[in-house]
Formats: sequence, C-alpha cells, structure tokens
Amino acid sequence: MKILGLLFLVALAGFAQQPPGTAPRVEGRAINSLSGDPVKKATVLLQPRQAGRGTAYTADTDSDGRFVIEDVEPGVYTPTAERSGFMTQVQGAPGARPEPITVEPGQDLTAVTIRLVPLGVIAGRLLDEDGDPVRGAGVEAMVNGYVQGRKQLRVASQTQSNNHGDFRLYNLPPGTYYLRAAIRADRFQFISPLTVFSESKPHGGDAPTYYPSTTEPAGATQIVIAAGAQLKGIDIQMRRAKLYAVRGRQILDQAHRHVSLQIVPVDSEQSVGFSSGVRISSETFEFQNLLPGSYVIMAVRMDGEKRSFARESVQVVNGDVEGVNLAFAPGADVAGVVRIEGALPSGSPIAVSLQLETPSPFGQPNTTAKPDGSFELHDVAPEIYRVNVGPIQGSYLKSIRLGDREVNDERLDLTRGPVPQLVLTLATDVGQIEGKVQTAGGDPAVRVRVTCHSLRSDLSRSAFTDEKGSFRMTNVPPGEYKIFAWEDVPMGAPQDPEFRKPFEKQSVPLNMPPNGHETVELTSISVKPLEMR
Amino acid sequence: MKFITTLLTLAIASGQTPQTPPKKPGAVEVVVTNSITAEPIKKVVVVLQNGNTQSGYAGLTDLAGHFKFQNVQPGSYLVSATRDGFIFQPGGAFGHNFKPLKVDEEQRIKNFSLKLIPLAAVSGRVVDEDGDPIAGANVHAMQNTYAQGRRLLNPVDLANTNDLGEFQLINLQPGRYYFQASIPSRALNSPVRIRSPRPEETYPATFYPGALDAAQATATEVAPGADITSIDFRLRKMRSYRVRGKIVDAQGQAAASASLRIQMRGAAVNSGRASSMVRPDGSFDVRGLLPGSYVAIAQWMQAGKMNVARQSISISDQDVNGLLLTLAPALEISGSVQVEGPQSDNQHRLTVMLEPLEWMGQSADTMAESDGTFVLHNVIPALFEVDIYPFPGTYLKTIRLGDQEVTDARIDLTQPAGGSLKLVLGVDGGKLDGVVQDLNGDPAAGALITVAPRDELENRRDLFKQSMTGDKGDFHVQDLAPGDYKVFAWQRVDPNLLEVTEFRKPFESKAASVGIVANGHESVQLKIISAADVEKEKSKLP
Repeated sequence: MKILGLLFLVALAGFAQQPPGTAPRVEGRAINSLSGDPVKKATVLLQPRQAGRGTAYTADTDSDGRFVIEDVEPGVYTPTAERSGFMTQVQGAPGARPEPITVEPGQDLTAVTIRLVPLGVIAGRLLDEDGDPVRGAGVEAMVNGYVQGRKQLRVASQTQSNNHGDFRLYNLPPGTYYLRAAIRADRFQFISPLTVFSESKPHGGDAPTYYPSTTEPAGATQIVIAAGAQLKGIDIQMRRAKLYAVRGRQILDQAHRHVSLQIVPVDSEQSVGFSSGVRISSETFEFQNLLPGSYVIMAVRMDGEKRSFARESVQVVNGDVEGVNLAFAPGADVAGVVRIEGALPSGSPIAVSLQLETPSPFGQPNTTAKPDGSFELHDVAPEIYRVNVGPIQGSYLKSIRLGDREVNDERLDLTRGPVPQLVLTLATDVGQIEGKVQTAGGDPAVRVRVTCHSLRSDLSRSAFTDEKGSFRMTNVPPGEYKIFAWEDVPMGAPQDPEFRKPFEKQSVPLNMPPNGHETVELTSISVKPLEMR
Repeated sequence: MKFITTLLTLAIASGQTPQTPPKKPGAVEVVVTNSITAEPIKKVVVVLQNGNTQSGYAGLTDLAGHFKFQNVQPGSYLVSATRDGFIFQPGGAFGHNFKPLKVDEEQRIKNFSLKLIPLAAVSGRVVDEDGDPIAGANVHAMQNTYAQGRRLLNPVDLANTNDLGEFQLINLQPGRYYFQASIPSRALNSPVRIRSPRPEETYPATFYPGALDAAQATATEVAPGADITSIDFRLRKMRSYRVRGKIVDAQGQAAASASLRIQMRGAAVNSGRASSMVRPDGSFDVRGLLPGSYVAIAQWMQAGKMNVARQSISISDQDVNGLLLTLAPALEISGSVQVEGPQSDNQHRLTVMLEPLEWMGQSADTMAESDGTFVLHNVIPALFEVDIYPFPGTYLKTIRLGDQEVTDARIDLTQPAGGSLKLVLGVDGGKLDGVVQDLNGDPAAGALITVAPRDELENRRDLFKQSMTGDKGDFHVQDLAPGDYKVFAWQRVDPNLLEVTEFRKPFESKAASVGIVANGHESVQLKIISAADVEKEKSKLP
C-alpha cells in the first residue's frame, strides 16, 4: 500500500493540474461532423483498445454535447458515441476503429472531440398500379456489398409501409442505395391442405418492385444519400406482373407426415419477393406468385427420426410449371478425425462444421470433435459443402483427406453417395507478418486495411495499420501470398479476386515459411479513382 | 435479400383423393362487404371447402365484391374469405371463421353474403422527458390473456418508432388493448467491465398513458376499422440498478459459456427479462433493473447435461454486487404413471409435463415409457405444476413427490431430495349428463360446458372438463375425479378465461353444483350464460 502511494506521488509530480489522489478525468464533446453543432443525449463509450482487457466507461452528453468521465484507468482507449441518427466518424478504411486516445497517469484529457456523421432518411409512399396506397408492405434499402468474396446486394435497412402506404427508412449511412418494395408472403398463404379447383386464376399481382417502378434490379434507379440527407417523396409504384405457379407432387403417408418446402431463386439478385405463397397437401404442392426466373425447390421430409432431402431445379418462363417431381434421398453420415500437427492451446474444443454457400433449410451440420479428435455427423443433406474447423487461434486447416485422396478445394461432395473417412489436419506452424505502410505521398498510412491472399486457395488474412502506419498480422499459414494495403476499400471486397485484379501491380509478394516472421513495406492503394470510372 | 423464400411445414392429415360424384352442378354467387361500412370489398380470396373430400373452389372478388362460382358440385361447404386488412369471423371472437353453405343439384345461390370486419390502425409518438423523439423504441399492443389461471398481458403485435418517434400498428383486430412502449436494452457488446456515471438511469417500459405497472395501465377499446392516432408516450428516466456477480461450476471454476437471465417474478407481462453476456472469467453485469423481485437463472449445457443455478434477488435502492451463482447439475426427476386396478395394455404413452409457476415458458416434458416410468431431464430447480393428459377412461387421481402427497399439483423442486414423482391414474371416475336451455327455455345447441372442481381441488387445472352441447342441448362428460364441481354452460367465451377463478365467481349462481362419487353418474339441468354477460364480467377483470 505504501509503495503504491509513493509511486503515485512520483507520477503526479510532473502534472500539477490534477489534485493528488484522483485518477485522470476524460472530458470532451460530441459534435455533428458536418455542422459542428453539439450532439446531445449521445452515449459516449470509451473502450480499452486491447480487446477484453481493462474497463470500459460510458457517459451521456449534455445539451452542449459535453461529457465527463471521472476516474479513468490510464491506458489506450477508442472513443465512440451512439445516438440514433448518427454514427461515429472514423478516418481510415471502412471497418477501422476510431482514432485512439491515450490516458496518461495523473493527466486529465479535457478536449476529446468525437465527430458524429449525421445519417440519412429516405421517405416516400408505396402505390399500386391504380395509384392506391399499398399498406403493410415491406420496403428495403439495399446496398452493394461483399459476402464471402462475392459482390451482392444486401439489405441495409427495412421497414413497413403504414396504413396510408407511407414509409420512412432512417439511420442510413452515406452511400448508394437501391429501394425495393414487396408484399409480405403471409397474406398469400393458404395453409389448408386443400385441393382447389380454382375458377378464377389471378394472373397478376403486385410484384417485388425496385424504385421507381421496375421489377428488374438492373433497371433500378440508384439513390445517393449524402451525410444527413433527408430524401422525401421517394415514391415507389408497384408493378403488376404476371406471376406464375409451380406445382408438383410429393408423397406423404403415415410414415412421412412432415415436410418443409422452400423455393429459392438461383440468382441471388433475382427476387421471389416476400410474395410467394405456398399451398401443400399430402400429395401436391404449389408455390404461387413467382416471377419468371430460375429456382431451386428444396424439401426436407421427416422419415421417422431420420430426414430425407430433395432438391429440384425449375425454370419459370411464361407459364405455370406443372408436374415437378420431388425425389427424396436419405441423409448421409460423415465420420472423420481431426489430427493436429504441433500443440494447440490445451482444452480448446475443436468445432467441425459443413457450410453451404447459401443459407438453406437443410441446415449447416456441425459438431465438436471428441478428445481423441474423432467426430461424426449424421443425417447430412446430400450437398456440396465447404469444410470448416475452428477457428482456433494459432492454427489452420492444412489438409483435408477423404480416405486416401487429398481434397484440394476444401469442398466435401456428398451428392455421389457415401464418403470414406474424412481426415482433417490442423497445423500450428503459422507465421506472422509485420510491416509499414506509406501513402503515395510518403506519409504513414494510418488505419488502412492490409490484406494478404494465398496464391493457392482463397485463404486470406486482414489487419489495420496503427497511427504510425505499422501493422502486424498473425496466424498466417506457410505459403505464397500477395499483400495489399487499402485506404478506402469496401468491407469484404478484397476477398473478391475480380476486385483485386486491377490492383495486383500494387501488391507485394511474400513467401511465408513455417513459423516464419516476415517484414514488408507497402504503399497504400486508393480504390476511389477506379470506382469513378 | 438474396434469400427471401417461403417455408412452410405442415402436418398432413390422412388425405383423400377428391371424388366427383356424378351429380349436376350448382352455382354460387358470393358478395363480400365491409361489416361496418357495408361497402363491397374487392380482391378477397373466397374459398369453398368441402369438408368431406378436402377439395374445393377458390375465387377472387371483383370491384363490386362479387364472385360467381360456376359448376359447384352439390354438397356441404365451409366458406372462408381472406383479405389483407380484414378478418372473417362470422362466429364472433373465439368462434369459427367460416360460414356453412349447402349446394343442391342445379341450385343457383345468389348473394351469398360474407361480411368482413375491418382491422384497425393505432399510431402515436414516443418522446423523452424533453419531448425529443425516441427512435427505435418498441411499442407493443398487448391483450389480456389467461394462462394457468392467471391474468397475463400478452404482446400480440409490435411496431418500432422511426427517427421522428412515430409508430403505427396496422391490422389490429378489434378489442381491448394495452399499449406499452419500451426501449430495447442495448447490449453494449463489450466483454470488459463497464463503468458508468452514478446514479444510473433507465427508461422503464411504460404503459399508455404513463403507468409502469400493468395493474395501473389504461385499456384502449379499438373498434373495427378504427384509426386511432393519439397513443403518445412521454418516457421518463428512472433510477435503475445493476446486478453483478459471477457464475462458477461446482468446483468453483469460472463458467464462461453459461447463459444468464434475470427475470421479474410473477410478472404480469409476458416479457420483461434481462439477459446478460457472461465474460470469460464467469462474471456478469446486468444493468437497468428497476426495484422489484427477480429470479436469476444461470444455465450451462456441458456434454449434453444441463447445469443450472437459481437465486432470488430483491432490488430495493441499491445495486446487487457479488452475487455468486454456483452451478449444479439440473434435476433429473424420475417417476412413474400407473393406472389403478387391473392393468390394461395401453398402446399410448403419456406425456408428463412440468409447467413453471414463476414465469412463462421453459416447461419440462417427457413421454413415459410403455411401462409407465419416465425421467424428466434437465429440470431447473423451481416451482412447477404437474400436468398430464390422462388416457381415456382415467383421471389423475394422486400425485406424490417422494412420500408427500400433492393435492394441488404444485411441486417445489427448489429444495433438494424431493424423491421420485408418482402419478396414479384412477379408473373410477364419474359421469355427468346434462341438458342446457337457452334464454328462451329452448334447447341450447353448441354451448360450451365447463365442469370446474371446487374447494381443495379448485387449482387442479387437469381436473377441468370441457364439452359442447349437441342439437338437443345435451352433453355428456366422463372420467370426472370424485369431488364437488360447478357446471357452467357458456354461449361464447374465451376458453382461457375459464380457468380464472375470479372470472367464474359471479356466474356461480347460474352454475349447477354437483357432487361426483366414485363410479357415480349424475345429471343436471342448466341455463346458458349469455355472451353479453360474459363480456360484462370480463370488462370488470383487472
């Protein structure tokens, strides 16, 4: 106790502004990054930069946007603030953390400024072809994003039109959006197991429609939202489209009493909308309200305790599709073993999972290996899966063998019948990369994203540079890589080889030996000029 | 977005192929109108369903609300009508949602009228104490429901406020609602300790117009087709408290992967639980709790075995610190169900259920083996009610936990060493016949009969019997446990209300009292209780 007090006095000696015996105070303001106005009622959060260590602090801003946090443990923190209608401004590549602050012992920080970017609003009305308001329909704001290295539209925000057809999407970060409206499915669902001899076939309906009034994503008008923009009068006139049905047979009997059916568009950008309805009976099924396009029907049936699966492709061109047959096949059993080269942190359970590239009613089978490394998966749908192990810090999936055959693409094909034992080898001879990144102007490149990509597989690693332009990347398996430093790259984009291609000249090659420790120097890449083209 | 699909699971009844008897078809013209405005409704899906053949006809009404079914096979049909923004309830609330129709050979039916009830919209704003809008608040429309004999406000619909604090609930069925605004707890996704200013404050969930307690909430009557725009909330911050502590296993090691929830005891609202992240060192910190009594339940699934810890917490005017939750294996309750007397070969296996009494949900259930033995796995130490559906010809006669006889079916598993659960089904149940007259003294067909146990068996929900009168107002109930009962005949009632003792009380003068002895056979005469009287008493309930 005495020693502690003594140290404290020594530390305080240089900083007279703080009375002895108190820990530092952090105070500052949250301001609107555009107007400079104070942002009141924001919740400020100081998070210790080292994840999972230390204490985090919160405080609310007052009417002047001011906050005060007393008694902060010295350390490095990332300050953020939360308030509906705003997001914390971050200088650096998307995904980077905000500029950290350093709290020194005995020294108050009194001018921490947290800049908040005002978010946008898109408001409008949904109308049908007659100009009547469409109530209770879903409206989605979509943005281009990257998932598993592929560019696709994803929903950034969604809402529902109200009683008057009005909708309002808010908290939209600055960016380029597409709007889509669709009637929800539950309105269309018939759930009685009924064979209907329909006399009037409604051959049209409000189709999923992109702003301003098209069913084709390619024809949709982009909406650019600047920081804090409030766009009103963004009305969507829903298109009446010819909608078709897909009908077929499935056999249920006393032994097979439950089935779940799902229809999925093959092209992810093509929409069935929420507007598809389904009607099934013991012998037949019918999906309704489908736009022309390519679909896959996926069905899971309970056969007692076991499941069986069916997958059937259908093309909807310009009429109803009749007579689709579902052929059910039983699930597969997969047995395997995880082998470890080297030593893993003891006690870490090893998770093994089989992943489909798209979400599926078939599920993502997963299990945990037993202490001896063996694992079994039962009742797995006959599909092609990617094999995942872990993640366990300090290890990587080095090889996959099926019996005596090496699998090179990490894919496990269960569509051709039973498979031999799966042998998964985890290795721990990972290396690390350290480096410095400069901008084209020769300055340290701060908070840019550094990625390295294997030349042999789609394995990649990612890190951010710090305030001095330095970075460290761990857990890198042996092999040949290309390394990039990105100033402004969209999240997930570097995982797309097509995206990387034009920038390959600006990358640096690296050969990582087992347990290696490599250093590189990089120049950061600005993506913007290319995107402008 | 890439994955907007339709998913439906259906249990299929034994389907039959439609048969077409060689009869000359008839024709049916339907007219669909708004039950309030009498205006025709277009785009209504009308289905004529033949109950015998599981086949039928579907059509869509035109601008005049008309649709004509040509060539309808003679037979009996149930007619339903579906349109967004409306409901079809010709039998009234809790009644059937179809209208019967009989079509004879070559019969032309005109103007078969279907009246749809328009749904209502309710909107308003949620603002803070300064009048600033609160974005992202939840507004629940809640209705009184009665479960396990208790009143419970159950959320039936939810809307979120936008950046202007505005919300709108559309498609509300007519009825009596309570509206509650709450701010979803924003879990600060931080594994580290969070320090925040003292005193901490929280916006408590608030009933319209400003009550915190469900008992003080004001109900809003929502009429068919109503557009109520004035449900405005002004939320006020209140001093709130934290519960901090640690979850450890039996060896005292940190239980990092445990889950924790802190639930208000006996909450009148089917929500109101706080769950918390548990840090790698087993510690937790739940914020924003208002004064009250709570139950903390920690659970950890390890190698298929549930480990649980349960502790009562009372928060008055300070934080609760240092709460130690020590996990112990969840209970394995073994027991048996035996049929009294000569053993009959039962083909069916009984399901044995334990319903928690302190909160809703997470009941434990299992299916007994064919010899009647069962084991309930992973049961949380708590207060439960035992429930089963006895075999036809039997009733649940005795319940024993260890060597204690449990007359009210409620068992306390918070204390260790309860022993096994022995259930005995009696075969000496009594029978009851009766006739129900309507208000004019005529036989009342389709009346709902409730046979409710009295005195010490009053809380035994498994001894409740329900039946429906036939064409002559007659009914028959069997497998009644020996004891005293009140017998009620209802014109129309929410079945969940029937288990609420306070609801039944005012009607006891209209009920018949009957004592059932073992293997006895009694008969009663009853007057029907009108739907209007039911509504009157229902509105007096809290």
